[in-house]
Amino acid sequence: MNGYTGKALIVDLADRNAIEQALAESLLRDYLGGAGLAVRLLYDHLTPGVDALDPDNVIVFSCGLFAGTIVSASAKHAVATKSPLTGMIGDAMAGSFFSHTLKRAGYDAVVIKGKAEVPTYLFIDDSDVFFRNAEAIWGQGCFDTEEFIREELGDEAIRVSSIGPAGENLVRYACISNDRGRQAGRTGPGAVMGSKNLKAIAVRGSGVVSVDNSAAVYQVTRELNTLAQGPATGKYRHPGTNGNVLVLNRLGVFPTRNFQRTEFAKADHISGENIYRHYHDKTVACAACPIACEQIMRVAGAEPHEGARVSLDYETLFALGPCCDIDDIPAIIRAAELCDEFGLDTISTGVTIAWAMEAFEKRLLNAQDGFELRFGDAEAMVAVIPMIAQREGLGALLAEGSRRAAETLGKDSDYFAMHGKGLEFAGYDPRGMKTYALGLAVGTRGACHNRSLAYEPDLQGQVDRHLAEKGRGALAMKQEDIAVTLDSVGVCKFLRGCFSDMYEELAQLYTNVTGWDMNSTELRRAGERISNLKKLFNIREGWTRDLDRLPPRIHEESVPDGPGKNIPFPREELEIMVADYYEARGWTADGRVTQPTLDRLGLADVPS
Amino acid sequence: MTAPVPLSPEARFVACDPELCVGCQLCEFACATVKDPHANILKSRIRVARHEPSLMVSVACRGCDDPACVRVCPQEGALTINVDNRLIDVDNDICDGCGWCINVCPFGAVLLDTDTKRVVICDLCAQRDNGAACVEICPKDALEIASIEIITNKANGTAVQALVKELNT
Ligand code: SF4
Repeated sequence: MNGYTGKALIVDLADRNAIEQALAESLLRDYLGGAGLAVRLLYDHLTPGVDALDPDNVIVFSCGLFAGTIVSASAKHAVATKSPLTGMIGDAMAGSFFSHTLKRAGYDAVVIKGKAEVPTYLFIDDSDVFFRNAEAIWGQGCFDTEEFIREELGDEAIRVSSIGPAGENLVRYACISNDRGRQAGRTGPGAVMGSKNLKAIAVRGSGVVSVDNSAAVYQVTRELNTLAQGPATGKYRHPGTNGNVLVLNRLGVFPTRNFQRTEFAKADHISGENIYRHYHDKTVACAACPIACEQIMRVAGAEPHEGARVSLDYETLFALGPCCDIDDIPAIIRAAELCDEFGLDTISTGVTIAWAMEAFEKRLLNAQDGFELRFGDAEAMVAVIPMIAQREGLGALLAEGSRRAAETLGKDSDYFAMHGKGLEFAGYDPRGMKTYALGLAVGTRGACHNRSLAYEPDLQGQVDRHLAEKGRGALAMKQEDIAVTLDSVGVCKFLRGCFSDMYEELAQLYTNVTGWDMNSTELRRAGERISNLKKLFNIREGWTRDLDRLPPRIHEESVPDGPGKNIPFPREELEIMVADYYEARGWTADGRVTQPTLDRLGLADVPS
Repeated sequence: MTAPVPLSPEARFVACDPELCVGCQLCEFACATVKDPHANILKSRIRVARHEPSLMVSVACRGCDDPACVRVCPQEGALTINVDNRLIDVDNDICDGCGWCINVCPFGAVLLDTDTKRVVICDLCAQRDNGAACVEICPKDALEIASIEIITNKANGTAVQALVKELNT
């Protein structure tokens, strides 16, 4: 087989047993790889209705289809599990070298079931699998864990995906970290690993991922790489995604003080350009990536938090910075580093802290042992991160995420818990971006910018971003399917601007890599199929219509700042768009997948 | 960057600027594409060392003045110094893949082709019209074909620039 290996590894941690499962060509074509393959394998292996932190939950790692080849920016792998944060589909993507290495070890995917008796790490050594004792590293951070395992196994080329204390302590938004700086970040897959006593997965891959027509693939890669040095990726290269700060601030959609405001007075200070100028240490790329977006920032001597060094991107900056009304850059860098080390999703961490800050501000929360969180208090924000990871003091409440924390606290604090289906918002205010608002509301993994991609038509001016109207349903669907297709072939979304006809070009690459005929229609349908499968997963786990909504603040408070100031976003507007979206998808008025849609997409075999 | 062993002043080799290298490994993929029909990355003659978070650099044969690989090779004539660029030619009929050269190369630039059981070393893509594939593909222009004199001058220039910048701030 070319491109694919045609094999999945099925691991049972309780029995310490690993077997290979052959993956049929039809399955691979239908679900592509990455997120698509991960979700399908999860769907087939998971017993519906189990608690996300029960040993019977299943977690799947799946390589992007182009992983292990030269194809530009093709380093992504997907992790799929039932999310402990949302109770729905939890599919997360990560970059760097893990995906390439796993594929070269001979697997398109790894399916992990059961719970190990003692802390364990899995070592996939090409075709051999070892269950190794991890008691010595239980409690350690992600950086040290990686180092330890490489040293213990005596091979620098081994790639490691691991959890930190947050995952061990079942923080509901714990991430999985690999290659030091990359994370399968959102929806809490790290807690699922923790619940399984699984500290890490280490992989040595020394095999070949063969390519059917390597000369053609090389040629296309060269062309994409050239485009990737142009305007389509400009902001990712310099100053990195942090360049969003000034743009979003100008548009009045830059969430500040837990989405109370949408402009930040100190935006110039924390702009991507300014941070780059004063703190940039190194630019790093994932495997086979011509863009190199990972900007490592470092706090130099003579400043507080001296020595903090971490990759800082826009979402992290927004969540730990302005969302908490913080403009202290060294503290933000330190906080980001702590999140990475303890294995916390930075977005959920920051937005949950911001929720707590607002609860303190409104006197709904009181100081515990003299500790409190106030907007703008950078040192308290830094201090609470290890408390969350260790579930100490106030950290125990925040470790549950904003939705559960608000439920526990009561007192209408859910009014300002900024999440969708339990997943905290990323750094764009949906009130001033209404296609995006729709994408957040209907998103299968919760309110996620990255899965919906619906911010694009709003920000690029394809539509009037302050208007809610019919037609946005089809648009949100189109964007969602683009995202899921990229997540499945494993190509980074940052490359998408380099395609002039994405489906066509990806289909050609598919054919050249695998040797199997593929065309844009089939590829597009695969994307739509995978989007629908995620929805079927949610329905099987108890999704109901009322989950496709946004927090009350979004509807009760008009746009607070910027060019759209005072424009309201009544709930009815969202409802119109949600109905429009269901219709575009071919679903019922209450958002259920219909039989004709299942038939059309070849999903009739999926057990409900 | 100073080399731990003296390089031949006449050597022409693929030099990597660690300031520019982002550790993407595209150079390895490109080399593999040119050298192997399946683009097996293990066949790449250039290797990227990634020391996260901040040190990335790729290395290929640099043309030592008195190459250890040639010195230790027990098969007379298997490794010879190329007259044009001072890199190492491998005679596949004589080499038996014993790997002594791999052990002694200070740059880790001698590799074993696990299919042919012969060692492989960078030859600057001598047979290729567009020159070295790694240099061609590197998205950050971190690679160039250079001599030790060129890279030393460049390193000095960078050091002077850094000093001037520091004095000005
Ligand atoms: S292609 Fe260039 S930037 Fe990428 S690893 Fe090789 S030398 Fe470094």
